[in-house]
Amino acid sequence: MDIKDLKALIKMVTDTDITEFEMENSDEKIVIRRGKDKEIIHMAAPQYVAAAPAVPAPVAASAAATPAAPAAAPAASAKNERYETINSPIVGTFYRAPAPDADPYVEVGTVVELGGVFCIVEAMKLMNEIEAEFKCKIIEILKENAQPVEFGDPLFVVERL
Amino acid sequence: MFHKILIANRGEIALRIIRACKELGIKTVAVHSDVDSEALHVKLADESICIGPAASAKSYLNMKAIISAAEVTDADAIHPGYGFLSENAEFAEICGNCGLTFIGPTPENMRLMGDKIRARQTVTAAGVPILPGTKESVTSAEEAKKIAEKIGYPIIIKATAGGGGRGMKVVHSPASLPNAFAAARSEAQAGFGNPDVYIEKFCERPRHVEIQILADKHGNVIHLGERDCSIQRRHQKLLEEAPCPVLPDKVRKKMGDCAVAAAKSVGYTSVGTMEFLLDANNDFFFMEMNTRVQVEHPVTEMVTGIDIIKEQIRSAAGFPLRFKQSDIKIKGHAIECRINAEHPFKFTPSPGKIDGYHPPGGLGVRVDSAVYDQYTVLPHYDSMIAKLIVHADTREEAIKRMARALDEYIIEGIKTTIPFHQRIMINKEFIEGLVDTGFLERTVF
Repeated sequence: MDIKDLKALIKMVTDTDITEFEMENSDEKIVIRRGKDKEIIHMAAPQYVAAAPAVPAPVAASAAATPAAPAAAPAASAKNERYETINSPIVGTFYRAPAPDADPYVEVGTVVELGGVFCIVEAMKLMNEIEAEFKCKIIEILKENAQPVEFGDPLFVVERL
Repeated sequence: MFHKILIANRGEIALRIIRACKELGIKTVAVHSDVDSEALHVKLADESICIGPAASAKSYLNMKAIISAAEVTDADAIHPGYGFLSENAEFAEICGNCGLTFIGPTPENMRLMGDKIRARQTVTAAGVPILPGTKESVTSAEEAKKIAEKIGYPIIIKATAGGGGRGMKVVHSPASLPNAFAAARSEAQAGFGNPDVYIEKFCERPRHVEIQILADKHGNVIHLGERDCSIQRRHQKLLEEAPCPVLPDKVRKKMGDCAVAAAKSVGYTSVGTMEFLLDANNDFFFMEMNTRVQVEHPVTEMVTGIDIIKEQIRSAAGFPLRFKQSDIKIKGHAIECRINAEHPFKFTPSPGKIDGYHPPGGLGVRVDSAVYDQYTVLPHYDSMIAKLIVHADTREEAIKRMARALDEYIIEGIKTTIPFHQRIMINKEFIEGLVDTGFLERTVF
């Protein structure tokens, strides 16, 4: 299923009273479950598992989902008033680490100080470090390494400290 | 042929380009600001990317974001539409450096024609008539006085780096010259970052007649006839038609040949428009060249049967022109009314939600618009929401058809300039085809 169709499906669920939606065919199975104030989306295809967004908005990445190694992303994250999302300020490619063989800047649980770097978004061959504007802890990482992101795309769920 | 084109624009022109791409089998990428996520061009493109917040400077004018979007989507070309980055030579250069084809002319040609002084020098060399005026910028009020006396009043002071009808001052007598000169320079600085101005003879009651050029990358240049765009308010076009109702065939041919000669002389390779002033004696004078596709291109499409955007894309992809000059025939008459989200007679902006939308139809009626029922017209961008174009066998019939189509056009929830256009359709001077660029100013609606 491509991103445009998935977006339409999610919109259909959020626009109606539907609380649970399940669809299965030979290629993939899609489950959309609506909680008190969030939607959990599971999409299982042979090699791809989508990370569930923590905010009630469809995943905004524009490129069609490409098969990748299953992400270790949690299937659900309870929305918490202390949690906020860090959104991409530019369009480009998301990288978890400063270089292909280096350690990622953050993992789930990392405490990031004011001015600390979350990740890189590469645009036009320039590596832009995305910095923290307040001290926080990483709760969830929403994008895969080397995934394209657009302006306003949520990258991390964090807890302000 | 291109595999995927990114459209660096919004509104009706983005939609227009997407339509041409779909018919050519080319994949499309729409870029949009965050407030434009419900825009029609975003819905109809194969892919879309949000590139920034509402402010144009951070989104539709944001070169880095647009190039980045092209990179992440693997687009091989960018179509800039009109306005925004369409005549930005730096952007065209960056596209080239990043391996993206910019669908438009070369940066050199953009710079050349964007500099009004150099443009005048260039076309003069190709044999195109220009209004008596200065060949270089005028640097002092004293120099301006001498030149004005030589040319003869009335004169007009224009910004060298200007265009689109902005930064111009008409002077009728020597007494007003010093102040007008100083004011023109500071407006030019404020509007275009460059205080340089030049002086031209001011034509009384001129008509604005422009020639559509189509060129390829193999040295072929043809013209697709003229458009009359004399109905303007504060130098912004509101209504255009093709052909010009008063132009004799001899003058039409001469104008077309001039435009082609000038374009060939600079090695022009895309679509463009050469604008002329036509005076009461049917003498014409070069005004400026627009190195992009224009808002009013549909009227030319209706009378020639040629899809200008498709031809522009083919040309950019390296294909030679499919038409010779002798293949171009003008058939019938076309009129375009620009429908703006504005009060019809005060022209104050009227953004908001359209809660009733029904466009007109029928033979010879075309609507180029990116609005739809329940769409919210945003205050951040220009107010044109639709172009209503009609085509008929004669000008008289086209006027009746436009009046009929305007009557059918329902846009509720916001104010639009439809009633204004309805008044023009019954105006005697317009019906007789006698309008010039001062028509709107002196006509009371």
